[in-house]
Amino acid sequence: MTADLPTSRSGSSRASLETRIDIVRRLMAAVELNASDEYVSYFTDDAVYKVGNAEAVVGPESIRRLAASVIHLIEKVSHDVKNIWELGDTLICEMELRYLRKDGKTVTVPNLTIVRFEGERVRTYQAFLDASPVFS
Amino acid sequence: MTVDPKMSLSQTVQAMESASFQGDWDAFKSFFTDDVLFKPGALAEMTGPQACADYFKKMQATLLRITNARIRGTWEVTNAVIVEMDVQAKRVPDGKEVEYPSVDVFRFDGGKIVEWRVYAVYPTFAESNG
Repeated sequence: MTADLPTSRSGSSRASLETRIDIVRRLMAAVELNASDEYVSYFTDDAVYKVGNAEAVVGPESIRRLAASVIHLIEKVSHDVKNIWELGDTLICEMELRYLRKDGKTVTVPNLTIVRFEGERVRTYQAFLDASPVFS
Repeated sequence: MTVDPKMSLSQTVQAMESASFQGDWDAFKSFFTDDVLFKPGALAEMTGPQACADYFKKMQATLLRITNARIRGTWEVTNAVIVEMDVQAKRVPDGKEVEYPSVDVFRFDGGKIVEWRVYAVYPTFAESNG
């Protein structure tokens, strides 16, 4: 399944009825739409963010810069979620990432992401993947 | 050690990994169903216990010798175990010690592992110039 399209956010009204799975799906949708303002708004101010072999970064602005450094290298990315397990404050998402590269080729990479929440925001985000086929 | 019906799924995974670290391939293969699917990272899927053993034997001879796994988290859910760990290994070409994060997802059927998916970043670390 692919992440649902995001609906509009209205700050404090967002949280009360949303599950953490909803929030993670919105995160994925924000990536797919390159909506960086929305994307970083889901993280705590001290969120730790690590993707693959890249150095971990801390905080929404660092996450935004990291995402910006990658997004211009690809045309589009989509998430094909296979499983989501919610275990206390932790969500584990098993999925395939489908990248459309600038040269028109599509590359699919298996990915597992562990998302740890603090309240309704993401405190740590770690994606386990080998993205080298995307950029080779 | 081979599959013991009294073992939890997590204990079965630990016993299988222990057999792998020790190079006890007959014991290692006993933890899998005959049609186990093994998918290490972005590499192609493999099927069957012998293919799993051959993969690890070749990897340990030519690429990486896994020496330990420091467990960061283990979750046991219905018929599956998810293990987050830092894998410690020695790179075969130059003997350098390396460590990389990985999450393995094991799915079970009848007490044996029927699917093993590895989400690791090791292909880059395995490069001798990495």
